[in-house]
Amino acid sequence: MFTVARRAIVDGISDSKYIFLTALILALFAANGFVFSVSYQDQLDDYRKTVAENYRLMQPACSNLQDLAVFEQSLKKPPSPAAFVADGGRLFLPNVVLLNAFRRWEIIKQHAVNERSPIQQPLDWNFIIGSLVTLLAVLLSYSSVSGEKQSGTLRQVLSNSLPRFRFIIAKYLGLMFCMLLTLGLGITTSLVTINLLGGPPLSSDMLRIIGWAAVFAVLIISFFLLTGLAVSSLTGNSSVALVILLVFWIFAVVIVPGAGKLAAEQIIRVPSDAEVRAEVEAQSAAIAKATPPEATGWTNDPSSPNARRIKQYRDSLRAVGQRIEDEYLHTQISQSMLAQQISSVSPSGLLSDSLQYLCGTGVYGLRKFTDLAEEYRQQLNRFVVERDALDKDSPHLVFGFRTSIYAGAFSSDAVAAASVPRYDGLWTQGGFHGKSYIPLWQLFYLLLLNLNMGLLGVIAFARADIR
Amino acid sequence: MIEAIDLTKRYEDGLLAVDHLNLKVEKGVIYCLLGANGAGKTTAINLFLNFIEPTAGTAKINDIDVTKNPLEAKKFVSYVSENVMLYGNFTARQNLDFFTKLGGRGDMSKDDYYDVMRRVGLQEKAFEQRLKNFSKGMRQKLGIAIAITKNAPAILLDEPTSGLDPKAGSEFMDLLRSLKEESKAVLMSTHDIFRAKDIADEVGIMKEGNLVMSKTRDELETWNLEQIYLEYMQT
Repeated sequence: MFTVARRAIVDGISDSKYIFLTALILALFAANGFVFSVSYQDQLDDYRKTVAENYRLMQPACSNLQDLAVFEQSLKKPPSPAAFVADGGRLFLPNVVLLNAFRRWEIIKQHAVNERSPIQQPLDWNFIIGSLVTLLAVLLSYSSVSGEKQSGTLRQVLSNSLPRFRFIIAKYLGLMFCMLLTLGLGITTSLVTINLLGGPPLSSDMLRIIGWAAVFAVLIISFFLLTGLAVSSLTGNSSVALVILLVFWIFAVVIVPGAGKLAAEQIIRVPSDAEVRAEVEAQSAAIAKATPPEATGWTNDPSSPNARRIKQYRDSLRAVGQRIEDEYLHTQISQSMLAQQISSVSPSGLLSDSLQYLCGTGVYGLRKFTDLAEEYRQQLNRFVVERDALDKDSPHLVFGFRTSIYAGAFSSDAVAAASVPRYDGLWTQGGFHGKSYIPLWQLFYLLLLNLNMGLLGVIAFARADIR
Repeated sequence: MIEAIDLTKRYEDGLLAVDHLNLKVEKGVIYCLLGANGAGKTTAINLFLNFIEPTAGTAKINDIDVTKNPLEAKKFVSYVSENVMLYGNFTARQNLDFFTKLGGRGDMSKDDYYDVMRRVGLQEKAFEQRLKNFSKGMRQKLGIAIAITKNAPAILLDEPTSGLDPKAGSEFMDLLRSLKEESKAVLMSTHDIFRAKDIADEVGIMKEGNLVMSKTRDELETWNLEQIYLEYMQT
């Protein structure tokens, strides 16, 4: 078996397609390291600038609790130090939440344009492995059995006392060695480039992510190799095998991942902004209709009995607005997650989903970002309410609007800026995710795909006609 | 050593390629199987190598049933095809090393390979050349070298001399004689009546899957093999 595996290695690494594509893959891994290092530093600077600016603007608001409560903070999603593995379409996702202690008001995109980077599209491991490395696996394996059958060497080999399953396993191991060589060199190139250009350090979290990403990469490569071996055994003709495998590759890498988004849009409909606004207005009107007129009005006297009813009415309006917008956001996230899950039918989609899950990027990062932003808003709200409770002179009518407050509704005491909860501290707790995320079902599914395709390959070759 | 007992092969499309073939090739005997294209010679060899399974009957190598125990049986047989196909990006010595190891021998040195290649008549300069530019004759010689290094007691040859020039063909026959002297049992399918007559200890003629005639060298002394062959082909 070792003899056949060694032969497959020599065959593989001396193949011009292997040499060319490996060189291209290594160049892309180097470019990945370069682009990431440059853009990560810019994003980090931009993030730190936003945090500092936010803090600076908050200082004057701390002189009055009412001002602090309505002070609109701009929370920015920190850049992921693992985005070089899976960028997750960063530029297409919102990364800033505008909120005050009462409500999250907006989620917007505010990306720093990287002037120094020649490439704005993600050039991450996910793209390189999911497309080019898998293509290399297809091109290495399509003729591994059929080519030997057509040239006649297979008859010469199998005239010896070599079980067929050992032959196909040896072929697989030999080709896998070639692929791992490319992958290993590529990953090393990327990491060395990032290190040389002053990218984020290789922390234990980062090493864990890189390790798991490598595991997923190996499984995806293995799947494409096994598919190549199975098709090569089934067809017995290199040209036919190549056509079938290229069609499969196009489906797996291009069509199915794209179709996932289209299918998800049909299954989960996300309303337009205008529809959301109309819904908020309709629900607000219904609340107004059900509220006594004196509670929907206004009073400049916080001690008036109507003031408390007005507060309840305003709180209800804010709550319904927040609920509808939360639903809108969750629908958007659910649609994106469904798109990824549908795309995960294809191995490349599965790789993309797994790596984004692992790195906390893409829709997983967005979900975490918005969840944490809401958690932070609630912290801030509790802070304001608790501080107000300490003020004996306050009427404790804590409520407000986006930029203004019901004057005199609650305490106007000053608070120490250092005591105000900070969002940036919340995000950095517990590494990238706050807890360890390993995409287990994706791992199980990939193992299952490998097992099935491996069995198909062995059975196909065992039954192959080698006359 | 090489034995077929009522060996029969009918393909899925109904074609009866080999019909109750009975033959036996003992040690030190060269058996030539003659026949036109499609007579069933290659199918018979495929059955001995377990490349296909028989519909009925038994193929034996060294008294081992090839169908029941193919891997054990293949330890005792070497195979040289019509066009010995080896790896073009390997040198002659690397190919020899690869197939020798596949044959179960890992004890041969570079010098041992050189000795075998000298014995089969390959030129020294070809030893470390890639096979891409080898002529058919050179490939056939290397095929025999592989059979020699495997040192199996039975050798199957499927039309090994077809397409060889007279000199290469003659050299190939000399190699077969030397194998016979080493007590190998050789079963060779061929179209070449003259070479068969020249080298064979026994000759069989196949037609439409049947072994229609089988004669020993002594019997052939008094018969005109060419005449017999043509008669069988015409009937």
